[in-house]
Amino acid sequence: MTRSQTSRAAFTVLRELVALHTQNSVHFRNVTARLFPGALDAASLEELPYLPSEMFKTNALKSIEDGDVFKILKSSGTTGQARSHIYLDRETARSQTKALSSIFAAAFGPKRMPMLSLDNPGQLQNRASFSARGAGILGFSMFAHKRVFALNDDMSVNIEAVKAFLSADAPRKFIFGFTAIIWQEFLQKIDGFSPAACVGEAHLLHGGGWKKLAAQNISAQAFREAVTAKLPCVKTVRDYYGMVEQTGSIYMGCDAGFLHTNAHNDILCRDPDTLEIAPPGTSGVMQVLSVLPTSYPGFSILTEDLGTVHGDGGCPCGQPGKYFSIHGRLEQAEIRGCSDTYEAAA
Amino acid sequence: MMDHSAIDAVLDAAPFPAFDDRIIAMFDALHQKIMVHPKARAFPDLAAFGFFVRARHLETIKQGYLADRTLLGRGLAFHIGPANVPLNFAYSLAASLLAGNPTIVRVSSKDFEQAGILVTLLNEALAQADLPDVAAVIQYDHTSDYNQILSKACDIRVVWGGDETIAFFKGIPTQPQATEIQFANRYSALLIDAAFYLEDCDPAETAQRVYNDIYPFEQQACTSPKLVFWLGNADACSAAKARFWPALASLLTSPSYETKPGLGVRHFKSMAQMAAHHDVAEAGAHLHPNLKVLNLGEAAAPVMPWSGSEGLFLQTDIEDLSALGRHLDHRCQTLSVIGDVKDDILRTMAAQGMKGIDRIAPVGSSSNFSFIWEGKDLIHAMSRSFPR
Repeated sequence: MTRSQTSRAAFTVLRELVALHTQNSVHFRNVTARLFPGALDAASLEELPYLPSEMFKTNALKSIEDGDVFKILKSSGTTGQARSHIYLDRETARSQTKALSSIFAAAFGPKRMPMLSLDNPGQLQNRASFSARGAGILGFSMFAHKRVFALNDDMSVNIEAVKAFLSADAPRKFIFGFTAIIWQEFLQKIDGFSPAACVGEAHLLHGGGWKKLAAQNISAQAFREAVTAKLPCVKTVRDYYGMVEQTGSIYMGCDAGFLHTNAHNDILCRDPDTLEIAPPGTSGVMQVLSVLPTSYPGFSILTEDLGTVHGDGGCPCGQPGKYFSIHGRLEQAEIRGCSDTYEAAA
Repeated sequence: MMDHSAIDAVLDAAPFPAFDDRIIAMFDALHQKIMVHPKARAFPDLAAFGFFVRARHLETIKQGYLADRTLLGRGLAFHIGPANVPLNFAYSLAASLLAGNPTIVRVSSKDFEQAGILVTLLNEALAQADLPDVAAVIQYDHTSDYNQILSKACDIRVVWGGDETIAFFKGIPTQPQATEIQFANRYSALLIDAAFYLEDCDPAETAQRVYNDIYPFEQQACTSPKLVFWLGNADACSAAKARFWPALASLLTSPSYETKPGLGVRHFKSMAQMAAHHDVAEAGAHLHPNLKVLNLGEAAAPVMPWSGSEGLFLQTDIEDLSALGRHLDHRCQTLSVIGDVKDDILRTMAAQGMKGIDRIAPVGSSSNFSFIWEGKDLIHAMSRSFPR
């Protein structure tokens, strides 16, 4: 399928979701009727209605009966900050897992690899209400096996566990973590391993935003170099863009350093002042679209993330579809995202 | 701005009589310094404060207060300034000093250039008047011990900055006899008598007054109207709207007004929050990114917590003033008016037992400071009164 075909397929589903949530969510129905008249007849992606991500913090946005709520995902957030609440039924939870699995397999292959989580096991303690970090770790654990944690609960490095993982006999290994935590809590604390200490090749996936690293002027290139300098077995470093409001349909990074849409999602970039569609190559706020959410009206969300859609097709990596970058967050916007979840004691 | 020795000096200072001559002289010197400052023109709010504290003005106010009584200060006053209006802290400080209290003001950590200028000039004026220990303007972050230390030491605590700040300081005790003055979250509205506007108002001049109430503060001051009532029959209201909004929009195209990045997102967040729960609809095409008008189809009060700023308005038609009671609750602070309606509004408020509306101001003057603020007389609240 070419990109334009997958995009049309996604649009058809997204338009059905407008009708579904108009019927089942009073909040969505009200916003759509009052601010997006004609949304049910949207003729293009650009005309689809959207909600601000903030509304998932201030409202219980559900398109299902209370009895059908299977799981509630919560965004990361420091004490006192409102957190998003995302209501899943079994069907949405299942389709999230399926989508994530296919996106993961497309990037890393279908075979399960042993996994090193560059985080602490405490993230998974409260299973009833995961943080975004916990949800991320658990989500990617499903496509790997023999998961070990590189950090202890006090955020010190469990160097024995890391050594054992690297030297274990497996041709391909998977390493996952949140960008700021990998940088601050792992790369800054270890001396680095020699190629001789490692067996096989490893693939590192990281997410959660560049905000903290950008503030320290650390580029994607510098991050990549630091990873391969300290872990010479790492062959690919990819990042991804995703949020708890659209779990599953993440945007995977490519070898050329760009993020990509896939069959489960789409993306638009809007002028932050007028909300008109920003021309390709110009910076704006990102509107994220996902075909997955049926239990909550979160299939089309205006984020406060700033980014650029570079083009539809034509990425140097050769993959079809839209490719884009995220630069940071709109100023004055509330702080959110995994990169702000852990405040190291001064 | 942090100077520990300055705080210690003020902590030990004694109260003094209200409208003390040395305090008035110090403010007059400050007025002169502001007038000759090269930036005074660039900051109308700085010039306005200078004008407010000139001796002639303060002497007039003094006569009103002291005609039949003696007023003495209560003791140390600790003020927590708001972040939305750059020089609000200065008026709070002026009221406090004129009421006879050594005063410490904590200003917002949000930096405003005119606030920095004013603090520098104030410190000069205090030093030259040989009054270094009556006032200190300080800045520190939320986690500092100073909130506890000053709350415990003070005789008067004045908290601006809204509900969250008030809740925060409620957790920090003052002495039982201390006076507490708090300014909670409020909203303000503009009432336009449509017939009066059409017949008696110059659209450009009126637009400028409305602009002055709103745009210098990005519509974030408590006094800035976010809600517009059109008083009159449907024809008059729609004719008035057709003249009023374009006249206001034309002021926004001047180069002195700048749209802050991300405006569209901030407006949309407000609009979506309102639309999710309340009957609002966009009133035609936007005239300017900083001027969006929503028609409101239900009572206003429940909608106001979600209302936006930077030029986002709700509007509703009312056929007579009795509708105000239905629309406004106790959180309504200022009602700016265009038309000869003040007495009728007061009668309506009395007849309906309305808790809302603490001030009725002619359009263009809603942000003008008065020692009676939100219906509270700050001089009396911060002093001891001895009637003769």
